[in-house]
Amino acid sequence: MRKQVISILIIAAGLIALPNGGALAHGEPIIVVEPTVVAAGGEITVTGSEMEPGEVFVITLEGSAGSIELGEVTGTGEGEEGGFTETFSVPGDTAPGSYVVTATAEDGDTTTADLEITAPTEEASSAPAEMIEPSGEQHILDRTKAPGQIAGIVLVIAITAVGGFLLVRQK
Amino acid sequence: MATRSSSLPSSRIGRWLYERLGLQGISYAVPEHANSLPYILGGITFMGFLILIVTGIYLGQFYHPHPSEAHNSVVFIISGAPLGDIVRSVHFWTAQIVTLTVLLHMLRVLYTGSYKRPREINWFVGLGLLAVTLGAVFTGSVLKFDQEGLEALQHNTEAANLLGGLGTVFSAEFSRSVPLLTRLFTAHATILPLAFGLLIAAHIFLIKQHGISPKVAERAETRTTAGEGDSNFSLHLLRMAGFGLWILALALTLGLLLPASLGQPGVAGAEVTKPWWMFIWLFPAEETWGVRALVIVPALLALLFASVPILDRNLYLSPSRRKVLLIAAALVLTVIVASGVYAFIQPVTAHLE
Repeated sequence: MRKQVISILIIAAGLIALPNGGALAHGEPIIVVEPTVVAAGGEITVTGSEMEPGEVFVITLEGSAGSIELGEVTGTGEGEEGGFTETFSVPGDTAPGSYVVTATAEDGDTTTADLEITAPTEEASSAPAEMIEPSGEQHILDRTKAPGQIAGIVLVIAITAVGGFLLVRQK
Repeated sequence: MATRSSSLPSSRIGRWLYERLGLQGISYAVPEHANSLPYILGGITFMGFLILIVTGIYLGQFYHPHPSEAHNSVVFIISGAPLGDIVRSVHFWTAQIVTLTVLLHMLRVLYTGSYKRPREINWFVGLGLLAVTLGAVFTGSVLKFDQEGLEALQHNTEAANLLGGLGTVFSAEFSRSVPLLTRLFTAHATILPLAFGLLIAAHIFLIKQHGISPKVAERAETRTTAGEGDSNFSLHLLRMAGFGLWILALALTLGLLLPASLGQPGVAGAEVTKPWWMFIWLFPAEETWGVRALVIVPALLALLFASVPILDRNLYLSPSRRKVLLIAAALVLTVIVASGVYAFIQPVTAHLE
């Protein structure tokens, strides 16, 4: 029994030690792509942080169909607070789908962020994609219900409450 | 050992069904206390899951699990799908109620020592069911893909990266042909319900094998009670169904008065919302130790709970004979509640970098 437990712990520790692709842990370079959903032909802003000033990254768009190079960018700043903010155009002929924006350093280290690309629109090909401010506010929708629907729901509430009462009282 | 012979249904249809379905098989004896509220919490949770499955199947007809469409499809569910708003609200509120009942059920089992020999394995199965419940709530909170959902997804990704090889399946890099959101929907709608089905089958089987744990008394000891009792399981099922109807009535009432919320479409890289109440207690730990706390703290708690039947092996059920364990459990619970309250009153702070 003890041997099995030790074996399981060793396997789990080994799995944890394995990398799972682009690491995003604190203290390592990270990138953020905005917006996260863009039409083909639109623009994305890639912001990198936790990078060394002067470090050069190749930014690519990787999807199931292959890899598209968007360009190169160099980290600026001082000490360990380097980073970059760069805008790239997504080619208008990029197939819609899920992509990963990858920043690859000269030493081969990579950091990634998700990007969804939708079909191109006229707006997307002529103007940058709209930037949305993050908000914790509620999405306001008209949620008023027809009187008949409310009456129906109240009736179901009454039936289930009474039915529940009869069943719970069973002896 | 006293047993009550089950009486035949009074109606003709009832007697016909009783014979054809062999319902006498579920009228086996169970102790009277099995039908009391504290001992029926597990059954109430099960009925809540049935409501979640039915409402979830309906919502699945209108939900689009793709990052570019998810939020819009939830807007459509609320404003366009027939009864979509109320069904979604019932799904949301039932999830909240089920999380509460599953936690209360676990506390009851802890307090009454129902995890003791020969029920240790069922305690582990129960912990698995708790993990499945929290997993379903978490994935469900991501699916709406508003700001809150997207932030939960980002925490998922960071936690997956910290887990290394173990977290591969939960990372965006695992499959480039399918977005992570779509895979979380698959987990929410198929993998977790399947895991729930398997675990609940094992849970019920083990309860049937060992019987419900004996009623707590000063000198009561843990033992098998299968086949004992003055009540019967069919009555237990009827009460479960009754409480299930009450959950539905409560979820409908809450859904009507306080419809399930939906935030603005998510913007990546920001942290402007707080998680739901069942996860918010992790907030202070994350603030102190970073995102790694999201992996380490739940793992430590899971280990702690899993070790309960290993540490507390005497046969007594009475809380007065298990003071050390119960005081330790109360301390852990107090820390969790205090962390939750602290996080609730604190302003939102960013943890993701």
